[in-house]
Amino acid sequence: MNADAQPVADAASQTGSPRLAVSASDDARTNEARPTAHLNERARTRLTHLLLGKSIVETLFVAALVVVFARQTFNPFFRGSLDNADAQAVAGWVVDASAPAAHVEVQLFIDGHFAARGRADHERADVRSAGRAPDEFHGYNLQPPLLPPGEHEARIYAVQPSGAGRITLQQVDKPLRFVVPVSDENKAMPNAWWEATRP
Amino acid sequence: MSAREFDNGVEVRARITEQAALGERALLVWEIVSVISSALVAEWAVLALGDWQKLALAVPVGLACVLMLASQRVRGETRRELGLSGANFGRALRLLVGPMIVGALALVCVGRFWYGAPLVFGRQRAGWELFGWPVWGFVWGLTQQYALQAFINRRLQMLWGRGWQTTLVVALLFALLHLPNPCLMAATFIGGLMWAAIYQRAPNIYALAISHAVMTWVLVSTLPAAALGGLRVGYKYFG
Repeated sequence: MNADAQPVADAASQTGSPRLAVSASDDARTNEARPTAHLNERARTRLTHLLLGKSIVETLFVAALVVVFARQTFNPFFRGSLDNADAQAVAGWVVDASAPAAHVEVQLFIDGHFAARGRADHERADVRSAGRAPDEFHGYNLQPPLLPPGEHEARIYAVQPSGAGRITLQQVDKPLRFVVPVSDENKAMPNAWWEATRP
Repeated sequence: MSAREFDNGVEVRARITEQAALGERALLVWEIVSVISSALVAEWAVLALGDWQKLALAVPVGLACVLMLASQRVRGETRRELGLSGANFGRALRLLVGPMIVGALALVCVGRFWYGAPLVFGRQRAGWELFGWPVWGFVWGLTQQYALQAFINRRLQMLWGRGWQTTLVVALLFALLHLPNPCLMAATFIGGLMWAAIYQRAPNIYALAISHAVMTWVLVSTLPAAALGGLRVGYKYFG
């Protein structure tokens, strides 16, 4: 037995402390000694320090996990804009400032529904001249599906792989509203256009 | 020394003793909470990470192991007391046989009549059936039973002594660690009651580990994988 721990019988008789364990009838059911809680001052201090240290390390560990998870899942370095949206095209540019040479994958959502995907690798000389990227190929130009006449809302999302086969979508710039005029092709389109264009 | 001074001295000593007992109880609760929190961090935070980052599992698991080993050393707990020697092995096995047979029959009935699932032995992952799975089942059972019984059960015994209260809390904590998988929570609660009660009478972790491995095998062989949620717990349960 460790020197820090004392037999409970001694401790109880010396201090008159209440027994922290069980009655004799319980003891009779097993041939093992009853676990005792008594610790001397030194042992108690050591254990308290150990528990405090573990709590601090674990708190820091969880905090680090949160930062890593947030960094991995919600990339704070996407820069870009949604410049133009109409029935024919939705265009703009996106750069990942943490990897400016990479071409970001983007997804177009119209009225809250997936409409198209592509890669921001079209020529946009102004992106390079503004110092956003080392080359000018960071523009996107996505073709929306056939939409019913009326007002619609376009949103562009940058795709962020977040590990274990998961991705997260991060909106680039503000959503853009645009109006689709009536034409022979779209006049029969239902308002729930996404039902008609579902692959 | 006057009678009054003597009475005052006794009163002060009694108060100090009371505070010390309170401090010891607080330490016991803190130890249990600390180990449980490490397990929850591992299940709910680390397993949410992807791929190689799961290696970070070593941090909470390592911290919990260090705490358990150091605490047992500080408290002077021997291998025999913890149930890590050969003592009580046969007695524990004899106590386990009855409840295990009843549990296995209950699982067969639930699988057959509730889920309509056929009995499929060796439903484990390919390649594990013959040798790997029993070994892994024993090692995994040993790890869980060590933390659950040799640490948590013993500290609860220090708090409340042996009996239904300690047994119930051990089982509840064991079920809590299997959140949010309802089927596993129910199974671990019942198993936890059995193992905690038997450990209090015949402390032997090896016998409990064998029982743990066998009952896991019975569980997987009798209930469909979908009902068991692939034995997943914590964040991984959601996919």
